[in-house]
Amino acid sequence: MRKEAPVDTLLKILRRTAEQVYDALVYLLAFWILYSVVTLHLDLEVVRGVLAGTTSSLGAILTGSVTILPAYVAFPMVKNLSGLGLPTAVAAGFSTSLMMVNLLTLPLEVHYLGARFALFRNAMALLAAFATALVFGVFS
Amino acid sequence: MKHLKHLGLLLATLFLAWRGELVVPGAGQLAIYLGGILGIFFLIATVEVLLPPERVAHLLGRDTGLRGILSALFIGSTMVGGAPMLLPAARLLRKRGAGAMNVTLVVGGAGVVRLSLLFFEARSLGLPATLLRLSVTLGFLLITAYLVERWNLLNR
Repeated sequence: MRKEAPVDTLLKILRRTAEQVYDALVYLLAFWILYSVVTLHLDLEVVRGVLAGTTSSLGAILTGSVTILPAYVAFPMVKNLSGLGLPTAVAAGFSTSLMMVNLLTLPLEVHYLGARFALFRNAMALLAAFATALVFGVFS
Repeated sequence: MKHLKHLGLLLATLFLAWRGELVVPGAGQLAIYLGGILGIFFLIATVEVLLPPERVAHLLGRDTGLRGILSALFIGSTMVGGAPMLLPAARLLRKRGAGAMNVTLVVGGAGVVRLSLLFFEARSLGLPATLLRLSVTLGFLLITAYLVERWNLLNR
């Protein structure tokens, strides 16, 4: 096989980049707008308030699945709230669903990997969050 | 037809943002976001052009067993960036011949065994709590991956 010139490879890469960006741009913009709207109404203080006011794992799991927080913000906050008397089951359910379930990126996931896969994976992740809350509730 | 649909969606999004029906932060943040997206897709296209398909099939193919599971979890645990990085990479792996089970493990593993996640969790909630949570969620992830392969939920 003839070896390609580096310039050709680079051109191929740039063409693939443009194709992929064009393919996904609408979904990425939609995700960005969704994310902006949600973070505007559901910022860190609101999440804190919801978690501090709830004693049910269900509310915490639902909050966790629509929120996107980086790990270095989320876990110190959960620890802080645990010190203030948040039940362990609620904290575990929140952090699990925060990391595994992602309703905001669901359109993106449907676009990339198919609706059946995305829905099934998120449903199983929700179940996992409930199971974690149950396990932590039993063991602590 | 597909192009028309994309163009229409894009124009509708921009129109709504312009009318203020959708609350969007400033244009600077949009530029930063789009720049990051461009970088991500450039990286993914580079991998796509340069990565030999045999390598993917050898590591993550359908019948690789434990080797496939471990390499998928390793890829998931070292993944950086959010969903806009993860999902195109997962589709790329799938197109290059990775098994459905291993792709599920990569996508799910980024939320379960990701190293930065585990590090922050162990530091703020303690190692026992981290290990307990990890055992439950990893079990669920493996069941999910098995069922995805079994019920053929991920098309090529």
